[in-house]
Amino acid sequence: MRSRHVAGVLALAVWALLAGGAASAHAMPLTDQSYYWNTTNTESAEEAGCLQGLADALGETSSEVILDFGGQFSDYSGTESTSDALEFTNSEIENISLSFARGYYICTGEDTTTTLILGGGTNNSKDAISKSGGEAWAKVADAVASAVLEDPGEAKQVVIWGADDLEVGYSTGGAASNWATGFLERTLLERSELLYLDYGGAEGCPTSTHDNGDCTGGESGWDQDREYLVSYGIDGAPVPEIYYNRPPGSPVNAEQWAEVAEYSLEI
Amino acid sequence: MRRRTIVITLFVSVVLAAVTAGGFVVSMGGVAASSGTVFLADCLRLTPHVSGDKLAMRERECRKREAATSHVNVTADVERKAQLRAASHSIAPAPARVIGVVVDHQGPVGTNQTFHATSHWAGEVDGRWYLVYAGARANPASNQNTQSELRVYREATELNGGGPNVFIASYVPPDGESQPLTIMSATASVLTIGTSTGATLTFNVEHRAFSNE
Repeated sequence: MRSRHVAGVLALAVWALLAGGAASAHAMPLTDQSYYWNTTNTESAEEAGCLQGLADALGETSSEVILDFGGQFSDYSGTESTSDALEFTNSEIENISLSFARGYYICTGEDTTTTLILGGGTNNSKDAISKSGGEAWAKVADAVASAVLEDPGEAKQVVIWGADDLEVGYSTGGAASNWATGFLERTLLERSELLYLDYGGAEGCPTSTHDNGDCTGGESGWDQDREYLVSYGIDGAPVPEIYYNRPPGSPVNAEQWAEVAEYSLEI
Repeated sequence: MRRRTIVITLFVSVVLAAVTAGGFVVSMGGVAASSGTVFLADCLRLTPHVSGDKLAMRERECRKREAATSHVNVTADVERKAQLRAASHSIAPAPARVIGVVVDHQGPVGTNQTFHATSHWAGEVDGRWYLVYAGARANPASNQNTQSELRVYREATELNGGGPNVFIASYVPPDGESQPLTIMSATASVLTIGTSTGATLTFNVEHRAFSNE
């Protein structure tokens, strides 16, 4: 299941929560705010990056943020957000990411040690879930990373990665693996050494066994080995998507990921 | 078959230190001690997601960042940020910071039902900015003062948009009064506090302690 939010609303929400911290002895801990991005306005990105920079500088903590731009087009020229069909060109995605990074850097102010890992995100809901799609996304991430590296001060505090919301319900497992392989091969070709954050779910995967059971209820070709491969084994770094984790129900999503982790230890 | 490890993180960057530390120690084994080692260690610490064979890839990326940033002068970098902020169309410039004693009867955001403020002090102690509010704790049901009190907050590093001021603690004067305190003056980070009975106390912000004058 995908949840699509309005970036601006989330930005306001997090700001309200942060501002509310002054009212309580048990202030809400500062956190990392990711976004389903829904505007081509780079100023909004700079503002959002600034908020994260302010929070990190205050809390003296580094952060990890994903900007989700939606699914890739079949010609790899850009993405379409799932919630409101807003289209982004790859160039716009690069500029938005750079603006977010710039806002973060500026607003850390006197703090020069906290660091942001910024993952530009896509998902496997559209047409480009293939090796070429992964290559194209790595090219976008590499362009942003290269631009950041050209600014030494900014490069000291911002790390650019890719990101993908790879989920069982939106493409075959084989297609997702191909995308991951394409991303890896492109980054090796560019010598950019980038990883991508897999912030997808392990929905339908086993919750109590780890013998490479199938992940059911979605597209074909997903099992625990596939989840392992696309979230870590090929070129990913896992950021598990966990929706259902509160009583009275069992923490299904956490259990699914835990079993994937157990599986990975035994192969 | 080589052992592969997957690290599970929550959506808010939970650090699973054990896996990371394990990989880190291995990766650092052949690296000579230098400032670059420190940078590399910090860089790798950012990415607890990876371990084992993937660390080599991370090391190369970290070294690339180190090469690009090793000559950054911190003072010049901070000045440049301020200039960029001033030139930005989307980020408001940081307003001038008001320091010293302010008698405005304005308490911390959200506390008007539970804290009756008379005054506050804003200032820097050891490189950090603090706000100390003087007043009295109040019963929201009766609106009566119940305890003389100072409330200490750490102020946001930047003031644009406020940022969250972080509550540190409340401090109650030794005489057990209930009426509001008032900040009368400040010398460096030592505040002179007046009570409703006419007594004078001092409060040292650095040590966060009262003393009788």
